[in-house]
Amino acid sequence: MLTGLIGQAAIRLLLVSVLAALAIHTLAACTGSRRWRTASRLAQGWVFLCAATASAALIRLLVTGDYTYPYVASYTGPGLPLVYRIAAFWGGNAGSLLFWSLVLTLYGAVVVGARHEDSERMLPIVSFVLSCITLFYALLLNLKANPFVRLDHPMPPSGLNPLLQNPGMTVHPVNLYLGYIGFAIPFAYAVAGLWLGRTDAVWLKVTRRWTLVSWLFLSIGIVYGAHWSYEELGWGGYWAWDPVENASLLPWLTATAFLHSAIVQEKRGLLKAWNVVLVSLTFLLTLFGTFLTRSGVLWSIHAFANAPLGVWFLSFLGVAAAVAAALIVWRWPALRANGRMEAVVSKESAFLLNNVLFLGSAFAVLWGTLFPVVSEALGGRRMMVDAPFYNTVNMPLAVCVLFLMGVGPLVAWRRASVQGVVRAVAVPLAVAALGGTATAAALEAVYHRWSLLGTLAVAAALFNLWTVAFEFVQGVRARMQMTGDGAWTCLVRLVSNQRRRYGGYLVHASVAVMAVGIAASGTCHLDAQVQLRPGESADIGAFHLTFTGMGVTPGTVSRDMYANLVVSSGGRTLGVLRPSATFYSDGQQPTTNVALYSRPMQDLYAVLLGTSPSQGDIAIFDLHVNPLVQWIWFGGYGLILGTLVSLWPERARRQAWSVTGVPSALEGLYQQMAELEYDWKMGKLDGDDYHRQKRALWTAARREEAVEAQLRARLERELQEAVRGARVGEG
Amino acid sequence: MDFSRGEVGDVSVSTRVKLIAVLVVVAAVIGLLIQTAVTKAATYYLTVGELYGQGAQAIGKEATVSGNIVGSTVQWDPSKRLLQFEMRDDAQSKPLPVVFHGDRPDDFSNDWPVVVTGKLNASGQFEASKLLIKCPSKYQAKEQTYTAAPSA
Repeated sequence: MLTGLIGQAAIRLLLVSVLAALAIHTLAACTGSRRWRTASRLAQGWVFLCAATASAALIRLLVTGDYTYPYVASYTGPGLPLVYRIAAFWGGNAGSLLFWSLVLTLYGAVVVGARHEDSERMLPIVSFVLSCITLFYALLLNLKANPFVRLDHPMPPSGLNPLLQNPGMTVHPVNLYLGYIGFAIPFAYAVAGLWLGRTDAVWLKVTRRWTLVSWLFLSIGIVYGAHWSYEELGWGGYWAWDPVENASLLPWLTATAFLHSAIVQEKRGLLKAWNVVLVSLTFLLTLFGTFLTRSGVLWSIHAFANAPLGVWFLSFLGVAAAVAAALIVWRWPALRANGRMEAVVSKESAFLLNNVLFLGSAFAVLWGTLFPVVSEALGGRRMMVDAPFYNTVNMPLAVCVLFLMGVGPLVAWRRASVQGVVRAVAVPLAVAALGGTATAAALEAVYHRWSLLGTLAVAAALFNLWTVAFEFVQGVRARMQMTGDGAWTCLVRLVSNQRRRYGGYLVHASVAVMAVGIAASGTCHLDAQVQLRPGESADIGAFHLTFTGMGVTPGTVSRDMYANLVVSSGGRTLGVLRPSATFYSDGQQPTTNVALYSRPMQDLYAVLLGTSPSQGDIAIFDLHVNPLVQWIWFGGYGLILGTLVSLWPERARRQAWSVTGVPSALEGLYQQMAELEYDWKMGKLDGDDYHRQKRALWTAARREEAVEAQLRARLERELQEAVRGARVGEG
Repeated sequence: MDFSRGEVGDVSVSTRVKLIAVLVVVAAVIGLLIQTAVTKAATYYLTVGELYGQGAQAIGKEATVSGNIVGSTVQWDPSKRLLQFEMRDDAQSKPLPVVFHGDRPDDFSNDWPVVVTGKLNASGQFEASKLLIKCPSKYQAKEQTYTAAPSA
């Protein structure tokens, strides 16, 4: 009772505090006074405390099981383990909105601790934007979906959906939220940068970092969700292209595009406007995704704009889009590029192509997801598309992206010669094509399935792995020649000195591994439905399964009915699989539990569909063999590792090369020269191009050095004059 | 940092045009891909009432129909992998009998939303080749897709 009152008070206070915080941030931004800026920081912390108090109260209610609260009664029940009682916090609509506010305010409290150039001017605006978003959620919590609504009498508890009672469901939503909500910060920085008229290196550095953090969480959430779906839902697959999955994929695609085009802005000063657009688009897509999952627009099409939360989200989405668009248009002149594209064949244009492919894929997913709405608006007839549509469009695009991922690192900045690229690519591509064909042939021999796209995907993935290995080997070799150190030392130094580059390559390699897993399991998936009496056997792929009988594990809340399937392969017994069905004493629908024999090369996947005692203890099984599925999960771990390498802070020594932490024009040129030397050493440039570009960079650097020298001289002169003036004054 | 304009600036215009041309071609190909895939894969998306509203026209045409399960009508024969049930828009409307040769989803109870893809046959039964259900109150629970068993 008291806990509930505290929670209720906390969300009311949250609303009031956010409004107050908005005023404080405005004052801090307008006056620029140190006091108000400190107050603005403290306000962010205070708002987080309000959300944290409300969250703690709700968790306490869920854990103690106070069923006078409908939220508690709807998502928990007697006998529910503690971990799922806590997970029920984000298991329902109102609770997840509170969780959303908690994460958003936590990010808000963390981000104001940042110290970078111009952070004093930027942070009040960043906080203002984040507070506007928090205000939206605080309004929803207070007006539309309050988890602290209390009844006079307890409600019968209905328990958490058994499908959600899986360890994965404690990790997967949290990661998705952390990723999804995290994209608010790059957006807030984009607004701050546009407002102050500086979307330069500072903005880019901070934004890229926060995007990468969110991107990491979102990637983990997506892969984990696929894993959960695979192990729990029992349909033998891991990705169904349903609207909720698509909602998580959309911002991931645009964020991935941004992470790449950000490199172009950093190295070459191009694509500034485009990057701001991508960051805004990513944030808007997270709102759109949330709207999809809350409004029911795609589920029951009639609920369009009927569901109360749908209207709210749609309005907020509209406002956010309008603000972002207006700011971009207003600041368009400041978003002009510092340089130009010099040649059609260059790393810049490879990145551009990458962006077009990612956005094309995002557009296809968006179009497919919204097709019921779009087709009705355009043609009057509601139509929908499902998995075949998404696969037809996205698989070829994914193969193109994979090829580009392999080519991109081999292409030099600014201007690369076509012959040079062809020369660099020819051998690895030929090897990859052979490897792809061999892999496809091997799979065909075992599974009797073949597809052109699958073969191309495997070849492209191998090509990628080659490119990444090549970059590592070349880098280590060059370093060994220079320093004379051992290979291992050189590898460690190489990676730790260029964490972003080599972390990125690790991510590329991991994606390639995942691609092999997806291509193989998508192409060569076997399935069979069999009915077996005890003692009978069935074969699928290389596996031989014998059904030896049924058994029951007793329990108070639920009991499991399982089937024993003895699995052997090539005359060797591998073990017993026990697919089962769980029956609940409270009358909930029974659920099936997948039995999995998972090995790196293939998974045997068995589901107990049902039994038919009337026909002599027949049991019906759904059997699947999925080759290389584990590679997807392995790739997922590699992706996490690679991203962490990229994110790991560079040592202070390396940051000290510039007082501000951000390159001046001259330092930017020196960096480009270093990049040119790198490309030359790695054999990505031919002699002519290298010398020509080196000359151009030298000329520019001399010019810039002269300007700096002049400035320095003037500064010294003026300082001396000032000092003299002061002495004269004293005298 | 506009040194690029000095020595090599003269080629930039045509580079830009070429680059834009390339990107436009790529975008067009993607558009075409989407267009082709949509034409091939799109199905009509109707409610039970709308399907009945089409009358005899609806028979034999691939469609996706959404409605709610009528719990009392659910029959599941695991040995034949045959699921039969009725679905309707709301309590008053005329129910649509559905046959589905495939698995019975875990959550298959009264009044839960269901989406079926298939064809209405001449006897007024909807033969579903795909079935999709979603848990209505806990939106995180992913919908599950069930594909019809290959008819033996």
